[in-house]
Amino acid sequence: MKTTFLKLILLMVVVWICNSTAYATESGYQGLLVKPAKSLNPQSMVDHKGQAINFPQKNGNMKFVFFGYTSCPDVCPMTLSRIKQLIKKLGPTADKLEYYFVSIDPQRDNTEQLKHFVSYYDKSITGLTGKPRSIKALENEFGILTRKFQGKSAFAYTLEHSVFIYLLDEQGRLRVMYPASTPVNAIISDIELLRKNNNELVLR
Amino acid sequence: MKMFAIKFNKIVSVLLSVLWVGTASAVDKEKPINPFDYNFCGGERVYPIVGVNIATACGPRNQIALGRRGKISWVFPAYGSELERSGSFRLTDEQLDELSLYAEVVMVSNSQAPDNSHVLYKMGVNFSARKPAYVYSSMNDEYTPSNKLLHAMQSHVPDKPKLPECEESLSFFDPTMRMEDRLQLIKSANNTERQKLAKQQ
Repeated sequence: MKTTFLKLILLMVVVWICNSTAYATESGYQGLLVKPAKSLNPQSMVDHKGQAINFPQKNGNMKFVFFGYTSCPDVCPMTLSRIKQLIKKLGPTADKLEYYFVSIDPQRDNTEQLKHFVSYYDKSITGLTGKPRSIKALENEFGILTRKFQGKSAFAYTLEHSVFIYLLDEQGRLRVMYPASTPVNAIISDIELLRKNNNELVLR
Repeated sequence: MKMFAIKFNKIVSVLLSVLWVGTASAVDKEKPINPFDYNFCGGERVYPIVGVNIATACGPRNQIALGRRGKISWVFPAYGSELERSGSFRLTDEQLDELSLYAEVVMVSNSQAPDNSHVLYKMGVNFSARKPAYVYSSMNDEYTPSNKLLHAMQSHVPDKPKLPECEESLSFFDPTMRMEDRLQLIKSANNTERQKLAKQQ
């Protein structure tokens, strides 16, 4: 009897911890809702196939965006693995979304390296690079800070950067931000909620 | 000979551990690993600076602030029979991480203009090396990034801001103004209204 009671208490504590770490807000979203949605100025970028692209495009697809660099030792591989999990869990509906990895390191990341890096995780992830000025402008649009830690040689450096996954709506506006550690299920529930809310707006 | 070997081993192990601690701390200072350490300064973590002024049109100017080293401070001036309330303490790292997240969203979001509301606030958010963000908005339970941050900050403060109901009010007012100056504005606004009515009659 006593053991059952203790187990029940333990279960309640676990449930409470799980709920409190999901970044739930009064907005109804599990991530951090940007309200009002922020329109972003498109920038001239180049994708990992070498094609020019104005990013973000307003093409009716939701987009996930993450900033990093291919020699990033810890946080970028971890986040891309999470995006890979997300794509797997979304199943067939994953095709209706787009996934972008924006390199903040134009000095070292060329299109070939980007292609190799992103396709290791999932073929539907698009790597983006561009001129330093365009990348900086895009970083500013998303409010990202990057900082360089110089090593012993010109190419030996690491970059500190903000680690959020950004969700853009069908109109290419910034809607939700996720700390890189957000559980995949929380992101999926937000996608459904965002779709529902957008449909309601269209019907009105 | 055996004694010498034991002593030598001890000395070497102590030297090695000192050397290891030295290099480890040097590496730590060179490259922080926590994702929030992009605001890392002088070997210690730093947080965004957040400053808020909250007031009703006729009430005192209440202030809450979060400092760069993670201290929350507040001053709620005396009003009527109520005494001034103030204080400050350092929040835990977990509480600061949460507030930093909310502050990040405020930085990115466009500010929502205040409506004709009872309580207004002005908020400033400053992360190091980034353009500061300013918000002028109404305090209510509706979700906005700045309301979320403000409510989260308030939840750590043991005292309540002084937000009295006002008989006569202004549609929009500046919560950073002193109460006396705002009351003067209300008075002069009412006088102008009366003069306008008198002219019409």
